[in-house]
Amino acid sequence: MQRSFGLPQVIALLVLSALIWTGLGTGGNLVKIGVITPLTGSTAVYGLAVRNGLRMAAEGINVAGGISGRRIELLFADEANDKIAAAEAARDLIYRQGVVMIIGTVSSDATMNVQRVCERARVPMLTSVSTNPFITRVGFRYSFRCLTDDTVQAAELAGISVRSMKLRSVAILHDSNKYGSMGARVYAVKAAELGQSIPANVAFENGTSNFAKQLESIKLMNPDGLLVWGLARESALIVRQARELGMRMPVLGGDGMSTTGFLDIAGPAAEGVVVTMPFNPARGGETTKRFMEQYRREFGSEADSFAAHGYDALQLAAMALKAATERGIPLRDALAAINTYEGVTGRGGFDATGNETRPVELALVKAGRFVPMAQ
Amino acid sequence: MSPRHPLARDPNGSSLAFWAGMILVVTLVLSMRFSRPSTGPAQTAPGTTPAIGMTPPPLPANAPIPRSEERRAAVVQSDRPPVVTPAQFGAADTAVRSTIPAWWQIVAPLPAVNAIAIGPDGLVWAATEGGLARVSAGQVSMMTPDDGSFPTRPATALAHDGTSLWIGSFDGLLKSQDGRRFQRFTAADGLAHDMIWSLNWDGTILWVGTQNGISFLVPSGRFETVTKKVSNGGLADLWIGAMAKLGTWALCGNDDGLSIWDTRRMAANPAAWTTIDMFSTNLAHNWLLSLAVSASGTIWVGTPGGLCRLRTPLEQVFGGTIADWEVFNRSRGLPVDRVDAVQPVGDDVWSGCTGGLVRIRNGSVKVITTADGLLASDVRTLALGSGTLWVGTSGGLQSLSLDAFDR
Repeated sequence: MQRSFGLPQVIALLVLSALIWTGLGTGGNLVKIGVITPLTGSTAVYGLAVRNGLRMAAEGINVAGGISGRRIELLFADEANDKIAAAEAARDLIYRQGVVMIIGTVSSDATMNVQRVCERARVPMLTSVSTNPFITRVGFRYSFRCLTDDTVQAAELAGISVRSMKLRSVAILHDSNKYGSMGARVYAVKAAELGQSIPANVAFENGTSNFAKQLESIKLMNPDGLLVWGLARESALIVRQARELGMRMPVLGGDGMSTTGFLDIAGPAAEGVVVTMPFNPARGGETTKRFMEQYRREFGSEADSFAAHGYDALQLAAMALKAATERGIPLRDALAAINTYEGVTGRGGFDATGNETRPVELALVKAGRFVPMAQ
Repeated sequence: MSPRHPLARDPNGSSLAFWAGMILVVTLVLSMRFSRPSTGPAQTAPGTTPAIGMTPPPLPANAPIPRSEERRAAVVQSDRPPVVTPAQFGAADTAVRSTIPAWWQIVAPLPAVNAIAIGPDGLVWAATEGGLARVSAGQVSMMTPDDGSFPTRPATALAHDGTSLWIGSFDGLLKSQDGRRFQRFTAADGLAHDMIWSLNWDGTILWVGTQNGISFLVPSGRFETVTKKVSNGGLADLWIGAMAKLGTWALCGNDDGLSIWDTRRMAANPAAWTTIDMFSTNLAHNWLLSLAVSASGTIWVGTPGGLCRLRTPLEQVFGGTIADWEVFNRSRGLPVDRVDAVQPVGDDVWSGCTGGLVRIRNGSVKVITTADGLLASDVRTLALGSGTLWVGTSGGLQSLSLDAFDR
């Protein structure tokens, strides 16, 4: 069929060019990405760090020209450590705000409730904090994680506690949520494989402040070590109260403790605690160094693992968005195709399930700081 | 503060942009009106767009047959999704005939289908990501918020109580007797939450699985709600992805396993509940994505780890016996482990997964894929009609003749 190209089409093209020039419909020049994270409440220490990292990344990407000329706009939703609020935020961001992707959230419970909405709507979700293995091991095609999960973290801790620290028995005290319960479960399985006994495996409710009862019963069992799998506030209170009860055994924990929030609350009681450390600034190259310096300038504090992973999450999103735009492929497929990347957190990538592939390091609290341990 | 992006909107450019926009619209309209050859029936004039309460227009029966993923995608985006009947297959080209077997009766590309319900009048309803679809006498009508014929999107769940159609959404529960007018119920009416994930009509009571626990509508017209707190931990978690009823047992699929409530006892009594999970039994996974009870009372659940059949009677499970499951997963012939939909049909069970549609007969697995005419490889929901299996995928709705399939 022969197409005519007359005056009306020419005028339309001219007007369209004028519109692009003047910026009409700024929405068309924006790529909206939803961010669900706790900005208030007991887990805000993680959410605020993630927000800082994301903002820094967005600023850099936009200054460099955005995604093929389109600016990234981050739409933040505060879920306040409430998984129901997280699901509502996912609904609002996807169906009402029209975001192309969601980054979030912190607690694995909340992330799972977000990922189900994303899967149904076929909108990719990338978490840079939640570590429950199920998030990426349930065949959900739109779920991704750019942080080492608890299968790796707990196994690493179990390994060092048996091989290097020579702990023959470890009592476990864990948050009853999906982060704590799965971390404890994975550790217990791995410890059993290595011949370590678990005399106690006790859950506590998120928000608990007094752990005397649980700790006293554990003290009676006299284990060689204590594993705490929980978020910063509760974990710090447990460590403090354990020391106050005269429990001097080594304490181990997951990356929920690897934040300044934990150090602030635990104080001197944190000394000697061993935690998993998904981000080791000393390990990175020039990119990491520049990131740390810029973060210090902008926020007046040291970037932690959550800020760094937040930063990398948006860089990954930008990589995928660019590839999707240039190659005309779905954003989900572009994200899934990233099997290797170099971020401020080091070299990583997604495996076939959308899970992070890199290993985890360990750190020891020494003089109020997390000091990477040689492995 | 970050420097202003070169493409950022100029605050002084708004009025220029407005007039430029107006000129563009007029120009484009004129361009289309005078330059574009007519290629089909006239579109519905704006004034006749159905509003809430009006019947949407039927779809044309002579709509194009999708021949490839690209064409299917194009059709999905159109306002009026087509119906493709076996008679049309004959008129289609060889490629279509060779890829679409005759067991398919109706193939309707639609937004992703989340749930299907069949009314006593034979009308078939589909809850989709774009709104509500209705199949009547081989014609598919789509109701969406865009034209005002449906209040919200997505529609997530469906149940028919014999008189009314109940539609779950992420903005509350909708009730309709005629498919035109919709009454909305929300948390303000006693629902556990506005985000509805599953519905079940047990013959007397409507059960509603929400983001925050379960609700049920008692005959007096009041919603009662059961959460983890109300049940004193009996309901293991709050997201209820699937619901079913077996006798007096209310089966609530959540992400900590299958929580079962003996409804003869108070919900607040923890002894009225038991939860079967993957850590204490051989259930394939804790996330219950689908749930169905066969006519003979067999419980089937779809999980990310496979399709599972409960072999232990519920009375024994409540008596302390550890539940035993038969698991169908990749090792037994499923294309993937994750099972999103399950529908028992006599002694067979059909299931939907991200790798296609599966029939299990006497332990033998048969997989139907896009190469067999499935609109998309991810089957989200299944429903049984009279001799017909209705299949909802992310590509749309289609019906399969069970007799033709067996032939």
